Amino acid sequence: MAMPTAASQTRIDLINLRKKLSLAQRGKDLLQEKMDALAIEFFNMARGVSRLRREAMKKLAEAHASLSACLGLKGTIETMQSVRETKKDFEIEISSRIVMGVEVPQVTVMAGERSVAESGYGIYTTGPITDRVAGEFREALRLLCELAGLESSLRMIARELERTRRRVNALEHVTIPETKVKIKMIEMKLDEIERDNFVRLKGMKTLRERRG
Amino acid sequence: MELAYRVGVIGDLETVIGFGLAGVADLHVRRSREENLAALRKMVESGRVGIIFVTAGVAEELEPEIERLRERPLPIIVTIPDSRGTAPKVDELERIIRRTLGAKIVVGEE
Repeated sequence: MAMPTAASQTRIDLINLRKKLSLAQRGKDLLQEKMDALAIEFFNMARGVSRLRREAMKKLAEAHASLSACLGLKGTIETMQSVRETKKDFEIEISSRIVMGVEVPQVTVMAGERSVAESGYGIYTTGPITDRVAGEFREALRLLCELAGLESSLRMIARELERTRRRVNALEHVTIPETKVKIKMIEMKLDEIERDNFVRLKGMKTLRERRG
Repeated sequence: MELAYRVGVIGDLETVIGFGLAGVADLHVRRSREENLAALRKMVESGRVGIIFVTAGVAEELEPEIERLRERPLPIIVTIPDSRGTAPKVDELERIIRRTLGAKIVVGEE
């Protein structure tokens, strides 16, 4: 632990250190509050992610089941051709919002329902089953995009939470105790000087009385 | 940053076909590790892809790169199970919680 040098043990240093200590303590309290709020946000979000993930995975599994039927009925090569013909219109919008001072992404799916006529693929290699697969995958994709935004937000909140905790720890276990030790040392030193002075004055007083 | 982005998918053939029919523009059928990596990098560098879905098997192969890309705000990379339902070995949510709180906590629904 860094010791204050002899040169720095003055009254003004003591005042400065006391200021620093109260600032550190206040900062720690504020950060601790922020940490609590972040933790609440984190858990709410985690619950949302967990629910959305389950839902998205269910939809995706259903879509895959329909797809394997479709591949069997229409053939893999034919379906791949349909993929090539499909209009690639799936787009999302990503904006950001601020949660507890953290910038997190917000995903909005722009592509909505799509009618069969808009899909773009030809009618010879496809059938109702293809439409169903396309629709189901689109639905799964919509959920997955929402999930992506939420999961990424969660990751960012988690990172901020970690950072805040590190700062609280640094203040609590390093800055504050170190400052306290320094203050104590200067106080002791100043007391020592005080006592020195007192003894000297007493001595001088006795000296003068004896002479006088 | 409010922009329209595309979505990318890297995975097995069935996954790619499915998402292709749904209207996803950036598709890559998994091949060798190098080719998958190149495809991922190309999607990232295009700047037009906002979310990349990667199937569990590919995600495992490209783990270090994906971890590195997650430091950036965009694109968002999400692991999904492949057509056989092979889910990621480590649940992403669980991993985030474990790393943040240093403990495994099961988050239930309300």
